[in-house]
Amino acid sequence: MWKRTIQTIKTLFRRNRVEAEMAEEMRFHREAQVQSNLDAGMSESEAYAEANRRFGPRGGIEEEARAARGFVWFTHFKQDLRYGARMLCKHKGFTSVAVLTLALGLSANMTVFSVIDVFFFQPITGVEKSEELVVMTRDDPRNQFASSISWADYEDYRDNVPGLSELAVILFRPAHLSRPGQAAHRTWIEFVSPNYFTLAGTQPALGRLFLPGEGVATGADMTVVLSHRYWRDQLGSDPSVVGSSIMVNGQTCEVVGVAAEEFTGMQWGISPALWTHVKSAPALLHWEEAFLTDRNWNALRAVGRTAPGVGLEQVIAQLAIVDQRLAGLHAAGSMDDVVTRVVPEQRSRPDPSVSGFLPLAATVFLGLVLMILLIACANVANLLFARAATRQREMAIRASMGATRGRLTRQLLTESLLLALLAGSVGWGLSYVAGTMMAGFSPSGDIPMSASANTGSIWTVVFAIGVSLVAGVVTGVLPALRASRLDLVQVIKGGAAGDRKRHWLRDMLVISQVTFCAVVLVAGGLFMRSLQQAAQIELGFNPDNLAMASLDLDLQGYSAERGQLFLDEMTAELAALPAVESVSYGNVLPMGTSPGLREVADADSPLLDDTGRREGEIQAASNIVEVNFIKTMESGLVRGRDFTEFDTVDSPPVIIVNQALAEKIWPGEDPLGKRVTFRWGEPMEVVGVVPTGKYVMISEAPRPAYLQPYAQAYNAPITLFLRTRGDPAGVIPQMRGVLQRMDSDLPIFNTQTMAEHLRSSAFGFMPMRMAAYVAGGQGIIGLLLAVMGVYGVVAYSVSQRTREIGIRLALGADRSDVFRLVVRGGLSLIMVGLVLGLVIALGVSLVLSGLLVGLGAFDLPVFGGVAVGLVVISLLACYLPARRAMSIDPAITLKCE
Amino acid sequence: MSKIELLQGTLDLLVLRVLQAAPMHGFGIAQKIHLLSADALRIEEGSLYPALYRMERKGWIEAEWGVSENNRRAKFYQLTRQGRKQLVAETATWQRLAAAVGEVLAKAD
Repeated sequence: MWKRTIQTIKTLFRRNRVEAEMAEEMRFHREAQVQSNLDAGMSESEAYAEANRRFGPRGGIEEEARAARGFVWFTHFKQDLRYGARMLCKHKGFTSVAVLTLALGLSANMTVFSVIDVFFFQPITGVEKSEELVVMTRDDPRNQFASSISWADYEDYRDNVPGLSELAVILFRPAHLSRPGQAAHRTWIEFVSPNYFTLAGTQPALGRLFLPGEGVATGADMTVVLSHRYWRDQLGSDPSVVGSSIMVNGQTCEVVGVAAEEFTGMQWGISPALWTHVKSAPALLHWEEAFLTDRNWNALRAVGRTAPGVGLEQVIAQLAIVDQRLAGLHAAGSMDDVVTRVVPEQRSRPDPSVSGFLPLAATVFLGLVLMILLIACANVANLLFARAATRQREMAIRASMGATRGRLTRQLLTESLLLALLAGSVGWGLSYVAGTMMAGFSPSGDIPMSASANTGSIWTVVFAIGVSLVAGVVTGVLPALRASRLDLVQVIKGGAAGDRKRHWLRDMLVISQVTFCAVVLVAGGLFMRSLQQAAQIELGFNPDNLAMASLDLDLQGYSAERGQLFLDEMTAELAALPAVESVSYGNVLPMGTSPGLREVADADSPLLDDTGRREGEIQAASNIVEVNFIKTMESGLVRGRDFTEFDTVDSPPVIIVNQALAEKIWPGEDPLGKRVTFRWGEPMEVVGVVPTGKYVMISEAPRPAYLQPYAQAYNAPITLFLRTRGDPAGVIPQMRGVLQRMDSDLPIFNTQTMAEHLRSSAFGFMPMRMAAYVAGGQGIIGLLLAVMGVYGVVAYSVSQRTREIGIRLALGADRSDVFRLVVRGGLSLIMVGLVLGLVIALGVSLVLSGLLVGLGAFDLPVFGGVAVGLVVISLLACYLPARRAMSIDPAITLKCE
Repeated sequence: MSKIELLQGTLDLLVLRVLQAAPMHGFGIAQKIHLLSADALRIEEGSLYPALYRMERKGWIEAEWGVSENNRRAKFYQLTRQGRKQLVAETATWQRLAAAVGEVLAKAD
């Protein structure tokens, strides 16, 4: 056995010597035979002839002998590769068309996969054994965004779930950072539990990370670890940074280290500027210390690591036991129906509360690009079919030289694989270009994104090679089988193959191309229409001529009194600008990163438990707004009155609700005069009703929302809204100037127009625009490929039928008859493909309906447009070959034959 | 005497048996079988060499370059230990088969 293995290995590596030896052995045999023939008394020529006859065609024995040696495929493969490469080089025109066609299809696949890779495969960088990371999430039927937990609950989970070897929590907050004597700037930082860096298993680039016991006592350790990015970009990689001070929201902290460059935290896609302790949060954020004891203060996101050999089910079971005990510590009933789970970190992106819909979107887009690839494959397969006809002689010659059918098939397959790999590398280049174009879709907002999300993992390479090989096989297998099935006699006779089956196969190619093309086009059209429809969505305000800017006086250390004075002065100064029509502000930016959801209920409905929950409580989008808000935003009032200067701290609390909230809490009743309450605080009287708009996400269902007057509920982080006369972008520099003059240290962010914000926000039009561009691009590529395919097939069939058409013309057929003949042939295939495609597209449309805005499952403009457009374009693709058929001169055609 | 078609697998047995006597090159093996069968068996080159390579790969025989009777470089095959075992086994099988076929032919009436 061992010897045999050695021999095969030797055979592989010394192929040339083995071949030479075999040739010599044969030569010896032949000569010995000749000698023996001579000895038997034959003449010299007889002796040679007899020996040669016995050996049969030269190469036949060697071929079989090679097969007997084993590992023959390797030798053959190398030959095939060389031969294939020669063929591809020789037929440059064919090669470039085929490579480009496949490259288009492949690049679409690679581009979509690289996006999927980012969401599903890329590991969190700089974290040890990142595949063990899990994210804790809570499913609460009463709250869509419930994945956060309180510090008090965290301590219970941390100590009582043995299935998690480590459990850390993260509080991600904006902060104003500055070094002593410098102006502050706004960024985002993470408050983390003491075991955070132990969990990550990372090493510092400079100084140290948090020590055991550091950050355990409340407010005792005001220490921070800087991220490498912040240290490099903001502090110029200052080597003496360790031991220096940094101001966090105006309070001095000590820098103890800089994290490793590749470590950007354990929340996917987010790159915080620095890490400090959760126990410092009350001091740095001006929060009450109840934050650390109140079980309902859910602000922390928990990340853990599963213990070796423990499955997720075990962990979830252990969490359920802790939950049971926690239910007794929380207000009665508030933990009912709440399920705490852990999900692998890679399944929690971009956020556990929305990661559920991602696999669907990924499947749809991958399915669409696979269809494009199939169209491309069908095109190239068709080219190969056409070429197989012209290569029949070559095949026949090789077959008569002793090549078996399997050998010929393998040869042809190798050629198409080579073609596909070539196309794959071109496609890789194209998808790189597409990738840089898509990078323009990075969402706006002031949260720093981690750069690691822009580089592909090894899976993209694996996918690229895999999909290219599959494309090569799909493209090549039928033409190869077809071409290698030779009828030697027929070829020698020179008879044109009137193979019915081959026509049938080509017809199938056209039909499937049109089918796939219709599906891809409908999907593209639906996403485009959805984007167009989205522009008509009732936002609840007028986004045109609206400039905005955000600022946070709290983080800058303003007291409520100073803050209110500042805001009043600022509003007055901005309103005095000539280009500004009206000014207002609110603490929530619609479609921004902080949704501001609150539980509200009718103040007169009965209390459920001692947390303040009432019967009929709902979650609503909140906003605390300055008195001119409704006027500036042009929201319009449906009923009642707007806020006025007379709504102050000393007057009775008032609230304006939207129609959705009114209908949900008081269906069929007049909301004016009703009283609304949170889980705490004084009831507020409804004084007005505004139309329902969009608050958290542009694609959301009608959401209850309410407005409170700023004068009755001071809340420092605000976004300014300026209604301008003319171009809002022109007002932004003046607005900056005013703010700069009033407080040169105050960081301002989100300075842009409302239109820009909506376009680029991850909660605005950005996902829809991205889907529309990707699906639209897919549709265009699919259409291009399908038109090429239809044209190719019709043109080929015309060239095959030149003689027939010539005869028809000679027998007196009208040229328009010929035209009709050719076009009818193509058209019937197109119609079949179209009908099939539209039916499948309807199914796809049903699946997609969750991702589309403002469209029914059957959108007539899209379906009708695709049907008409596809018929017209494919008719054009038939027209050119048909014209050629009409111009056939029967005299010449018939003479040629 | 007319030529006889070899049964599938018999060629291996014949080659092994011929090589048991002495190492031999391919042409010699074919000649020897031809002679020993009194011209009844003629080995086609197209079957001989694939069979030789196959048996070499299975480790029953091994090859070495040597010099032929008329001073030409030739490849000589010889039995390996495994090949000898194989020969014994195949001989026994053949004899059992031959005996069984003989029995049937003799007693079928």
